[in-house]
Amino acid sequence: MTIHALKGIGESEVGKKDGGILLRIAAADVRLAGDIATTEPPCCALATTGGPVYGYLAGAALMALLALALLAYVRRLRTTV
Amino acid sequence: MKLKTFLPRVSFGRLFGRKALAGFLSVMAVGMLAGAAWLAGYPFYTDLRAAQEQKRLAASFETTSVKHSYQERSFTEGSALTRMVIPKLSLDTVVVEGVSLKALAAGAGHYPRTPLPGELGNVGIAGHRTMNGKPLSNLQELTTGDRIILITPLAQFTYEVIPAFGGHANPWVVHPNDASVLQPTDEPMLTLTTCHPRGSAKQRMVVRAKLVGMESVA
Repeated sequence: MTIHALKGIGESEVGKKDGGILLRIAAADVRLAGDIATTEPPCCALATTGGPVYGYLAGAALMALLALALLAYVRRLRTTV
Repeated sequence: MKLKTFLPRVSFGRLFGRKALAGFLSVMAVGMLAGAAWLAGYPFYTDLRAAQEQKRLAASFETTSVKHSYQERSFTEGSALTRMVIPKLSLDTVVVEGVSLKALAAGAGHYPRTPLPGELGNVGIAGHRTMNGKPLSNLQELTTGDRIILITPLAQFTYEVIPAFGGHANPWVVHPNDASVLQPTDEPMLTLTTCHPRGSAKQRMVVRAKLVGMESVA
């Protein structure tokens, strides 16, 4: 374990007076909780965040036109003998 | 165009019975009209759904569970991670953890393998440009110096859009597979991504901002 204490003032060592600070480490107990932070980027692709709004609207328009055409055909079917 | 020109000249009436055919086609036409209504309304439905989800997330953001998640660095996909405020875009939205389709139904999500807000490195956030509340609809309007504020239960982090760098403008456009924009950085940065052009997923628009300030939340 390396401690960079008061960097720039002087050299820090265990038991050495450094910049007026006496650093003594008798024992150390370090516990980590949770996951260590990772900074790896996603491997393959950036998130998809653009829904095809115009595609939905065009599809709706096309489907509505077909439905109306079908209804017109049905009307003709019912009126012709 | 007359109907005759594109419907087959077969006498379906003779084949199946005129009334039965008319009934069947009527049902089919009504079904198609219903489908058309669903298609036309779906984008607006996703906006409504995202607004509802944002209300729920805003409420959960006020609870202590988010603070605990930060202390333990443990977030589940879809849980509230940070509030993102962009004054220039009049945006105030809750960003969730994760960028799956399900997570992004809330509008904006944090790339899981990037640092948390305020941490050293490159924080990645993706947001919808169309549908699902479209929080980053006007991302292209951001320019150098514009502020992006990430508010967590622990602190508020202010980022500023940086000038053009690396031989391209900022914002800039990349290929969807160009995940290099999320590469770790030496300084604390924030990278926002959204789809480009609007209504398409062919490319991605990216904005890079740098951490310029931090205030502890009391």
